[in-house]
Amino acid sequence: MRRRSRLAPILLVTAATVVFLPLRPYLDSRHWGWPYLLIVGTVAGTAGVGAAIIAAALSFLAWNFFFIPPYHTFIVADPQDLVQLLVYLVVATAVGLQTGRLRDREAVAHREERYAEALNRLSAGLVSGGSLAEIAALADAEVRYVLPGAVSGVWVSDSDGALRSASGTPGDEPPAAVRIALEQDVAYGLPPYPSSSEPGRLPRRAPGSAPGEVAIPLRSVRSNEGVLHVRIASSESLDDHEASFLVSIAHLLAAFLEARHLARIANTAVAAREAERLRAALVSSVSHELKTPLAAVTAAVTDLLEPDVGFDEPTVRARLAGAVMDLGRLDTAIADLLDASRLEARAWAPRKDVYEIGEIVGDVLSRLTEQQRERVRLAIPVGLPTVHVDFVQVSRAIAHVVDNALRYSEGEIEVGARVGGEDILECWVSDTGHGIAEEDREHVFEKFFRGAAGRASKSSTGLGLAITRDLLQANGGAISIEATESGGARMRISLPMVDACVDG
Amino acid sequence: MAEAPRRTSVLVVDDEIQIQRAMRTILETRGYEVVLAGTAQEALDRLMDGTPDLVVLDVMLPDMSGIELCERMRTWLAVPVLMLSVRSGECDKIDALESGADDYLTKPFSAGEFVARVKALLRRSRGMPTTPPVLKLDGLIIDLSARRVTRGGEEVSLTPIEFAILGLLVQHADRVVTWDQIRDVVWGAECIVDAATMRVHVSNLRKKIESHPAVPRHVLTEPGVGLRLTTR
Repeated sequence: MRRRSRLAPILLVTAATVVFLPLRPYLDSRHWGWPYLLIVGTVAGTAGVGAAIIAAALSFLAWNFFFIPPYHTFIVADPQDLVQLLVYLVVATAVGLQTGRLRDREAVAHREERYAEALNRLSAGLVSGGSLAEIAALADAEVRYVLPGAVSGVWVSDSDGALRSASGTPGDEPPAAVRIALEQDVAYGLPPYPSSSEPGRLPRRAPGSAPGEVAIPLRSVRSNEGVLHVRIASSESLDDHEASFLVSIAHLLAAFLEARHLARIANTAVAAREAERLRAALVSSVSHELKTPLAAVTAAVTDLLEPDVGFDEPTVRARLAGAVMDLGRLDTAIADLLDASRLEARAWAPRKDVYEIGEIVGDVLSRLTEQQRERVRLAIPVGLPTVHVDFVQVSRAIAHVVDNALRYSEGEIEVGARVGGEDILECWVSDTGHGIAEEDREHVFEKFFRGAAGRASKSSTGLGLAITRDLLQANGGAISIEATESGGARMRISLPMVDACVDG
Repeated sequence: MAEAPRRTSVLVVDDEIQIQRAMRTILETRGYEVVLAGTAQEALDRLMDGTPDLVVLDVMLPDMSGIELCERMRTWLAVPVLMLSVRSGECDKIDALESGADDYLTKPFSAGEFVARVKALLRRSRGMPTTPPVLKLDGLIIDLSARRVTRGGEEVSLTPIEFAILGLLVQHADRVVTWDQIRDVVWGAECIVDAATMRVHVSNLRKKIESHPAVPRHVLTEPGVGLRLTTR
């Protein structure tokens, strides 16, 4: 940039002189100042103040040397000419200064406009939210826009202190300048400029770095988030404006990284609150669901052991049958808790195979008591396509739904299946209970949700339907609730079908 | 003095005192002689003293896994082994069967279920007819010797393969029958029959003998393992 501004006046004045020379006989020696003044003005308007002053001096000498007799010497014979020359020097310098200053101001304004434009675009990009790699690419594009040929990269310090390239190429080693800038918390490769926090103390080059290499720490309130690294194309160092542009980019990136960090903290806080709520609900559910049947069994059995009362055999049997039911409830509660924690820990991958829906329903029914089984009406036709699922998981899911229907209704329940779509087998369980309020239908699949008063009074861990939904989703299925014609609830389960039909 | 006829003895290997106590009560009231062992080493020592008629083995032992102990015992011991576990994952069941166990039971179980499994295993090992010649399940009557199956008084006509599968299930009533066993017995060990083909035959068998043709009540699926004919 600067070299060109020094070269331009020399070239222009030389070229003008070459053009003017053949015309020497046609213009009085004293008038050659006017064409030269035009050249000085041109130089000032295109290359700025410095170039204009060089042009003024050069043209002063060229006029003297080529156009003022005696020619080809700097001697001036006529004192009149000397006055002319000196006046020219003053006027040309003044014109050059004035025009050049205007031009410089315009150039600065133009440059500022480009910088402002670039920073504006980058901040808009930061606000619109993107991944770190996207933001780094955006920053790189803006650096190139302002400093053509420059290559930039953003290095982010991880939680463990390691530096990672934001563009996401793993295993990249950060340049030495980046590491040093981060360790010493000092920007390298910038001219010392007054607005910096350490005025005049900025070393120009980091040890071991190449010329034209800039490394600016991305400082936030919290800490150094990383480093902006730029390799500029020309071997010249940056001027103040370019440096402050890069520092502004670094500020924006630091703000982005800090915002990202804060957003993460906020997310963690929300997750932690939710986990806390679930934990509290879990503890109360566990203590209730485990302690209640235990208390009932303990009371019933210790009563039988009391020496002062003689129980007849039917009474003993009835008591024991009650105890067995309570134990079953205890087993269910424990199984629910284990299933929920296995699902939460993602430690229960489905082992899918091809099964008939009837086999799975048969397995569910085989676990019911005789009285419960009598309440189940089956609507499963022969010859349905098979499903591709984990038998144990889907059986467990359907068992929860069947158990729910038996528990929250008095009469018969229906378990049915049919082809529900191109590759969906639909299975449903409907009851004749009071149904589920429309606003509750989504929530019943949440852990520990207690809906209408009628349901809340019944004992359960509050995990069953949440487990059901998780199990079905793990098997590519889904579950939803609708009302039956008679006002009961119908749970609709969809499962992925295998096109191969079982023959017959 | 004439020696009293030896009672059927069962070796129970479980480190939990409560389970030992429950097993002893359940088995002794039904006339079995119970030998207890709390560790794999103790179990091996007891086996040196004498061979029981059945081993009930917990899958989790303090010094060795039940699976490993079962594999080790299987090198010289032919008596049936019933494996107990607290998990109902199908991998555990497959592991148990592959280690040489004859059946498995998931804790907690009812006394009735446990005794039914024990009896089923003992019937088989003694070479006795494993089931009464005629098995009656609700409205279903299976007479293996006469090769006759009736449901609700009406004759059910089975293909030879279906009858062979049913026969195997009846002989192993209340016990797990693996797909490999079905293949070996029904088709022959050298035959290559894929699981899908066997499933189709089983599906057809169910349609003919089950009271609900699509939802089996007696011929139940043991996922990943095989089938079980339940008489309870």
